[in-house]
Amino acid sequence: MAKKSGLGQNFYAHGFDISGDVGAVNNLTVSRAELLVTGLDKSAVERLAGMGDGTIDFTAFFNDAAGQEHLALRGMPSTSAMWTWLMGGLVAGDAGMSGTVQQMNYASTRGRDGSMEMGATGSARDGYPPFEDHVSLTAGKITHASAASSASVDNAAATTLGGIGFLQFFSRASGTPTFVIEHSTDNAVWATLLTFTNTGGATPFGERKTVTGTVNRYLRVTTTGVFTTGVFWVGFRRGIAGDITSLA
Amino acid sequence: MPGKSKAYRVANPRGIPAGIRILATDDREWFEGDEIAPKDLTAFKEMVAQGYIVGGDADDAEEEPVDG
Repeated sequence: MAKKSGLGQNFYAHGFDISGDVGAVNNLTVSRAELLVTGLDKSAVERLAGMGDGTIDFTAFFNDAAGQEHLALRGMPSTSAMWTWLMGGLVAGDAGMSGTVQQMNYASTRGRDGSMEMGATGSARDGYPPFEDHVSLTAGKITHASAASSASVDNAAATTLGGIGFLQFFSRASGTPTFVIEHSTDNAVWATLLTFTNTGGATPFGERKTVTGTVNRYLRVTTTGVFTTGVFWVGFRRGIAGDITSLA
Repeated sequence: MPGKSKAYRVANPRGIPAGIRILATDDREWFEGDEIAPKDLTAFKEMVAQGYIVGGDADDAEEEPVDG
């Protein structure tokens, strides 16, 4: 981890890799409401954190090809969508943020110079703060030709406050891949930590899934089942003290 | 071995769906209910402590595992 520019990032929208269309993330804010609770015996403000919230706004270049931004965003789904911004880069272990959001708009702008820009905003909707930070367990979007395990990620130490797995499933050529996160104390013996509920099929999707308790030092992604050419990304967030919802 | 008839078995403390392996090494994998021995894993005691392995005799888990 180091000081970095904003170059070489990816952006996924519920199973669509629109990294080549998104030109700017204009704003991503994770926030908590402010509750003023100043007693009359105090001479300065007392505050408590209230409800968590979050929103993201980005701009894309119009692209109506299969799997690109117009098809990903034009539907304005009433259900939640998981958006992932890999702001830290595309190496396994790099930082990013994912959130299950309600897409609030899909805006179009045609400039006098002939440019065609699209924009979308997503906001919290499922009762927990969207845009939780994580590290990638894969090197960006990767492909498993068939069931396999990816290289492990060393998080330096085990933790005991659970965690959250994030999956973006893009496509598969055939069959039904299942996506699993495994953890290990020694990078040799692997135990299944969580299994994502949704399995790969014809429809792209994103999924957020929590797990409680101990998370060992090493993590990796394993695919199971009979399939060919599964394309996906997985990230994981370890629980920390101070989380709004403890996963201990 | 006399007095050690109770086998260790792989458990499923995290509610993993059926058909998904619970434990694995580079060359072996175990599913819920499979028999397993301390010599099979380098991290046997840790997996017992985390509930992935149940049964057996307490003394068995102290045996040195066989690497690989």
